[in-house]
Order: sequence, then C-alpha cells, then structure tokens
Amino acid sequence: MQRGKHSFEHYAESFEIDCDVAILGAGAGGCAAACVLAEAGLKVAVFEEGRHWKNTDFKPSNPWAFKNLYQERGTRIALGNGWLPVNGGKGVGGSTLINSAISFKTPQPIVRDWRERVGFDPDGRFLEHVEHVWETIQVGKNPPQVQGNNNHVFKRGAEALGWKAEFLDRSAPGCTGCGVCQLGCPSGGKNSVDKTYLALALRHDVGVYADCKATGVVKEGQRVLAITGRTLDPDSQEPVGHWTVRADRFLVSGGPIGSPRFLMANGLAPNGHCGLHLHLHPASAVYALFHERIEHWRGVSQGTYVDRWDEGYLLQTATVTPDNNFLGLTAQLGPEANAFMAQLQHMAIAGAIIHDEDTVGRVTQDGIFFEFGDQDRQILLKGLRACAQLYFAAGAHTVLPSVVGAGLLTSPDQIEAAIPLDTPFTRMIAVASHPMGTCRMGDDRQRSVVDPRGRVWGWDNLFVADASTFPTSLGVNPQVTVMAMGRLVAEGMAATG
Amino acid sequence: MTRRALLAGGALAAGAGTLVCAGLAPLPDAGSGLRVLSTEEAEIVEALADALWPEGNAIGIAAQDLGMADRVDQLFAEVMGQQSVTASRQVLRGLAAWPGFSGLDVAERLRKLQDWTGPDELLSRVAVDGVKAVLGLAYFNAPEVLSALGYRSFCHGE
Repeated sequence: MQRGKHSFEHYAESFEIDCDVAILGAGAGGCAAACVLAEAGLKVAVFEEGRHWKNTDFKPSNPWAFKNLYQERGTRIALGNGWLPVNGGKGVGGSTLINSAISFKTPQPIVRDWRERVGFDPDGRFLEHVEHVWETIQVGKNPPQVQGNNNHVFKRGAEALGWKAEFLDRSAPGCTGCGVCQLGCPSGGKNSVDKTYLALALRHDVGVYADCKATGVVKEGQRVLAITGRTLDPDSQEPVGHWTVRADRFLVSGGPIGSPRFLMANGLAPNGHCGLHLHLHPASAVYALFHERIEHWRGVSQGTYVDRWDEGYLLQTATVTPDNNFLGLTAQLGPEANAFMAQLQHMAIAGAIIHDEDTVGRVTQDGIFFEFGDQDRQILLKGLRACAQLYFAAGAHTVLPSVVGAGLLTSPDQIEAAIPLDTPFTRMIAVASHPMGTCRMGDDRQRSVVDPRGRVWGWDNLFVADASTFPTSLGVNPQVTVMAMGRLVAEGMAATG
Repeated sequence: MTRRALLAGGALAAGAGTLVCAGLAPLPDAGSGLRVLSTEEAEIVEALADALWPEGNAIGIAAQDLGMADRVDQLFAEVMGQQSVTASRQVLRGLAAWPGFSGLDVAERLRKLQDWTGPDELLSRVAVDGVKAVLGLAYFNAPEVLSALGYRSFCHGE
C-alpha cells in the first residue's frame, strides 16, 4: 500500500493492496475511524467510489453537483405512502461535502436510551469521542455579519413570538456566507471531514483510494479475507479496472443505504434485520415573502434554529438554488409558481425536521421503502404550522407551506385551516437527508446487525461504522454522532488485533 | 426495463408506468443534432417548457428563447444516470402519446399538467414532477433566467 491520496488517473488496470485495516467509504464515519486506526499505528487503506475534491473544484450548479457530489446523481428516492428524495453525498468527505455543517452533540436522552436499550458504549467512552469530534472539526457559531437576512428574519420572527432562536453550531469556522453548502463549499470555510479527520489520518500510514467501488468479498469461515472492487471512470461512472484489498480487519462505512446493500449483496448480513429500521428525519419547507429584500442565498445556508426537540421537531432555516426552489413551488402552485419565483429576492426559506419514531422504512437492493407514520406526519404538520406562524410574526406578507393545495396564506388566521393535521402524506412535499438505522447496533444478535462494538454478528473481523448503526432515530443533524460512532468502533477495532 | 431500473431511476421512474404504456417499447435513436432525445421527445420537451414558461411569464424569460430541448439533451447526455434518462424519456413518450397534447394551446396543456399532478394523483404526479424537475434544472440554470431572478452565487471565481 502506498501512503497518500490516489485517484483514477494513476491506477493500473488491476491492482492489489495489503494492509491492516481496509475501510469502505470516506464519509464522516469512515474518515473518523481511519484517524483512530492510523494513530494506533495500523496501516489503513480507505476506498471511496467518489473523487477527491478541492474547494476550487466546486461549481455553482446543481447539475454539476448532482453528477459529481450526490449519490445516484441526486435522484435517489424512497417510495411508500408518498415519496421522499433521500439525499446522500459522494466523494472523499461523503455527505459532509454537501451538508450545511450543522453540528449537534448527541442528545443525552438518546445516549442514555441506547445504553439502556442495547448495551451501547460498553466502555463509557462515547461522550469523550463526541467532545473530541466537537474540537477537531472546530464547531462554533458563525458571527451575525455572515448569517444573512434569511437567518435574521427567522430569528426576528421567533423572538417576536417569545420563542428562543439561536444561531446553529456549525463546523464551518471560515464560513463567509456563500449560501451554497449543498453544492460543495467554494470558499473552503467548511470543515468537511476530508479536511479534518482524514487530513490527520494522512499524517500516518494511510492510503486513500478514490474512484473505487467495492463489489465483492472473499471470505473463509467467519472471516473476511479480501474485498474486491472496480475502479470507476469519474466522468461516465463506468467500471474500468479491478482492485483487491487484503486486510486483517474490514470496516464498512458506506452510509445507511450503501452499507446494508453491501452486506446483503455479499452474503454478510447476519439476519433479516439488515436493511430494516430505516429512519429518515423527514423535513418540509415553508416559504415566505417579505417586502424587504432577503436574498436567502447570501449568508449561512442553514444558520438558525428553534429547538422543539421535546415536541419531536426542530425548525431550521434553509437555502436552495432556484432550480430546487422551483421544484417545490411548482408542485404546490402549478402555473402560479412563476409569479412566486419572480419574487425570489424577497423570499425566505425555513422548515421543520422531525425526530421520526413511528415511520417504518427499509432498504433493499431494489429500492428504499417507507411507511410514514401517523404520529410523525402530525408532528411534521405541526412543525409547518409553527414555521408559518414564525414567518408572519417576522413580518411576511405571504407564506406558502409545502402542502399541496394549501395555497398562499396572507394571515396567520389561515394557518390551521390550510395545514389540517389530517393532511395525508401524499399531499406533503418533504425531503430526507438523514437516513439511519439500517444496520442497527444491539446486544441481541437476533434483532440487530452489529454488536455494541460495531462488529457484524457472525463475523470475526467485519465492522460497520456510519449512521446505519444508530439503534434508533437521532432527532438532530447527525454528523457529530456519526464521527463519534466512527471513533468508538475504530477504538474497539484497534484493540482487536 | 427491470423493476430495479424503474425504482433506481428515482422520481422520474416511479410513476412512469402509470403514464407510459407505449413507453416500454425500445427507445428511438437521437434526433438530428441531438445526443439523446429523439425528434419527437425534443418536441414534447419544447411543448412542456412552453407551457411552464410561456412568453410574458412573470419571470420574464420565455422557454422558447432558451432552446430547452438542447438544454435537456445536454442534461441527459452529461449529467443524469442512464436509468433516470431512460425513465424520463419513457414519461416524455407517454406525454407525447397523449392524443394531441403538443397541439393543445398553452392554457390547455397547463390544465392537463395540473390534472396529472393533482394532490390525489400520486403516481402520475411523481412522474410528471420528475420531468418538470429536469426541465427546471434546464431552465433555472440558464444565465438569462438567473440574471432575471437576481440570483448570483457570489463566492465562485471571485
């Protein structure tokens, strides 16, 4: 294995690598794990189907980002009693390339529940890892002058109602308020995980192989001996060459969609729970028009929130590019969408994201499926109502919730009638950016996929570390918890040599 | 088309079957000057775009001035995955097969789109909204449109 970064242009048609630990996936979990393992003196090879990126590579274009930075080129959806786009990042850095850097420490009730429910964190180290992540990715609040009007009017509305609104903690210490986090951070102000944990790992004996998709497994008894894969032409995404990695230990960090699919496709899933228990954190937007100029794309893309975690949701600001803006609006307004879009400079955007609990989802090789639960649906609707109320309090003259048929609201008196709590999910427009739970961790090998140290049940040297291992829905933006999970699992792996 | 291909095609694929029976036939070759779209598909793209962004629309840029078929053809050729492209083309062909759709006037085309995307028409809504998403990518990434909206990503290249 050669240390450093490697990519398609320099690969032989076929190559083989020997190392101590092979990691599949260079997202938040995989990179945090790589750092722990490398610092323990192990030789680590990381494989990632996407590319290495520099901030100067990123383009102000959704088509470019979909092609280069998003799983399934931005068209991945879940189907069920409605449909949900399920976003996920691709490339060295994974979803931290396209997230808004929002950072929450793992909620204490969640950690307590996981410990009591499934024997999570048997050595009591998890919270130390959370603190390590917090410091390493340099979480803090961005100053008011880079927040932009979209965040300021949201805060103004919350405060007018007597609600507590705060600037979000973010891992973006150099943020200049470009408002395009979802297209890749062009300023370099965001600390995506390739700039933090992976950069630290690369000081040691680590090789990072981009443009490499894992496809097969060589196994013997209860051990994985090698993983095989294809190199991908970064432009066409067509498989070109072949690679094999032999290692003592293997870590799958392909994310909550990719990890269970890899296990299932290669006969590694220990039971029928692999791919089940999918949670999604469904979110839905509210648009508001103000007389004042907002220019929601100037400022922190998601900078402010109202904490309603105890009620099952958070309100957070958001920005989207005009093409994405249109997609949401046309579904609600049809031909009237153009008139709304024409007021783009006066439009503010925020939304509700829920801590889903009675939604049932699963991942198979054929797709992603879900049944949106009745309780979750009502909580999301309550979140939309609260967001609409907030915007009127902020001075909006028109508010549009993401409910087909709700129409344009011009008074807070219209909110309850426009967003009835019995609205079926088929009439709601939502998105899911936080899949989790599909290789859930547990202490019962019949009802979980990995044990409390992240080892796949039934396999001596195969581990998983990403959001798929969450035993339940998290309820907050997950990047810090994913990285802490990566560190926790890697610490155990390092001790199993 | 396999079930996996339909599903993996994303939003575009989910409702394709509902709108497109004829669409399961082999897709035709690209039309003259196009890389992916057939001539018939290019015509339906223009007809749809003209309905969505007619002359005199509130944004101020008519789709017919942008060469939407070429823009969508470029997205199909350079950006979208094969399964999504196939599913989108099937939906386009389904729309083309609707008797006289292209010949309807703009208001009637819009009304038909509204019928297909009603709140209780989930599958056809997913299919048609999928195609509208592709058209939206094409239209709202045109520099003329971004300029008309006053949108500028001010961190790139400065």
